[in-house]
Amino acid sequence: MKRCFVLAAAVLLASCAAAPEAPPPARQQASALNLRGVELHRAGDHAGAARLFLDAATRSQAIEDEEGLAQALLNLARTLQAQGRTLDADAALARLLDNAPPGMPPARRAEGLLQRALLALGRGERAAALRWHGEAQAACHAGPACTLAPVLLNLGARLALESGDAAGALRQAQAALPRHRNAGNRVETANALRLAGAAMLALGRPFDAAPLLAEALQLDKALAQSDKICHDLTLLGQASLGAERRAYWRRALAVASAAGMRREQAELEARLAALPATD
Amino acid sequence: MNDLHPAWSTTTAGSASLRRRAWLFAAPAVAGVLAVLALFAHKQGAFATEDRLHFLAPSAVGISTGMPAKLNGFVVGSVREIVLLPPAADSPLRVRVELGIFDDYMRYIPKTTVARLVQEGLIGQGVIELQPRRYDARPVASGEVLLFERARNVGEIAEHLEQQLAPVLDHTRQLGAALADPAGDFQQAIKGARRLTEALPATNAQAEKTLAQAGASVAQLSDAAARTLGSADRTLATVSEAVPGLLAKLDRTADNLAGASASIRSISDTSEQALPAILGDVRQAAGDGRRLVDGAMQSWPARALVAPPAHEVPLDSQQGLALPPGTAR
Repeated sequence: MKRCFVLAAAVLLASCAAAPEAPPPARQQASALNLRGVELHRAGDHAGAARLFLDAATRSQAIEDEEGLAQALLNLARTLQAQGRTLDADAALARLLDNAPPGMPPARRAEGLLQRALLALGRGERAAALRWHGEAQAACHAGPACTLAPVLLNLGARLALESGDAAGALRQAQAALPRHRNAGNRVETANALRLAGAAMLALGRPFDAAPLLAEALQLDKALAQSDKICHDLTLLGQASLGAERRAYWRRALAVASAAGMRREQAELEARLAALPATD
Repeated sequence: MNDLHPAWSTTTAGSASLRRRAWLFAAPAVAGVLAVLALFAHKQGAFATEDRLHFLAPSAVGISTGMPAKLNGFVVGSVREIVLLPPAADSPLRVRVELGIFDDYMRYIPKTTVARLVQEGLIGQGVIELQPRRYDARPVASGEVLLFERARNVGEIAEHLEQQLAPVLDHTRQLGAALADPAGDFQQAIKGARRLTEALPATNAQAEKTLAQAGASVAQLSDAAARTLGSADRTLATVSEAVPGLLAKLDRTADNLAGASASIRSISDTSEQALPAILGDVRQAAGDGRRLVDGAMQSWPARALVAPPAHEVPLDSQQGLALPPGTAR
């Protein structure tokens, strides 16, 4: 009986250990380049990552692998954006969106359009950002399952805030929040909380904004994202009064100067200087 | 009977006639049933005559009376009798098994046939399988003795497999441990490559420093020469005295420069020769390690425990954007 179990266990283990069918070498190489590029991006070597993503895109193009090409170009655009090379990022997205091969999945197209909207918003081109955001939503809903919808809601909330529609921004951020929480997406959960907090501040509800911003700060600290931490602290300062406000902005200033965020640093110094001396 | 009432006599005669007619009616059916029974008995070998074959075995474990004997998958007979033999010092064969083989099949069993006790399938019944070793031998005759073999049962196969797998698993475990061992060859090779890579900038810096020193020496020499030659017009004697020393210094400086060049060339040559081999080894080791790790990661339970690697730079809907606009109080 014991030997039968040994035999059965051996057969079971052998079947579990069976190697899955390996993808073709060319696809494997492109995939490995993407993988290594993501590792470099995470390690902060954006230039090295961009080189690898470009190579991966060329290899995927050579075998007409639409999914691999889209993945490589999106990665390239994001890493170029992280370097501040927004024009190059736009060019990478143009290769994905304007010269897309026929088999490009709609979800990937939606991702590309979202990234393009984000780049436009970063440059202050609100009208263009709104147009790309609308196209991204249309492309996303054209696919079988629009998994990008909550992220699009976050970007929509940001666009609404920029347009002065605080109520619309709050509505979209609140709609996105539970979906990000359920999906376990901490980056976008923190974004939704921050946007909801900012919208409440704009609506004159600082006491409602404070807990949301505090939770966003907690998440951003866990994710170790300096720019987001600085924004959370600045908004928390806006939601506070007196000495508490000064303390938040001082913390934000310390983060901004340590992270080399010159624009935020100058802005916070100006805010602190404008505070009444009695605070 | 003669005293019977005439009506009764008539009835009795009628009854006999009826019985006869009933028998006549039933006879074909009874005959049919008997024929079917006879056919069935024939199919079961009831009318077949059997010849006897024997084999001797060390033990009767797994063998039982009535166990079928098969040739190429056909039942050609069965075990008729198992007899325990008296102990003999010169032979371990203690059991005599008698097989009853249907006459029709005797001519298909060559003399070289071996009787094997096998199990049908993993949990099937045991059978005596007659395996001819060669087909060119004469057919076996009634009463002859066959050789006997006992096939491995499931337990023995499991034991055999266990014996075969144990060293492989041990080796795999040792290989994994060796790769992970910080003092092992693999880790040392990686560390060596890293040290070498880290040392290269230092070597370059050293070479640059040596060249800079050599340049400075040449500059000093030029200055000294200029100063010395500048005073030549003041006193020729001083020049005459200074020139030999100056030439000696020049020689030494030239020697130093040549030495420095040779050192640099030697360092470069050594690095150039050693690097490809070391990098090749490291690449090989890294490739082997990666394949091993990839294989392990794709196998259960590692693939269930370790998150798959990310192929995408994470999407952030607020990437690179400034502070969201809010109204200050």
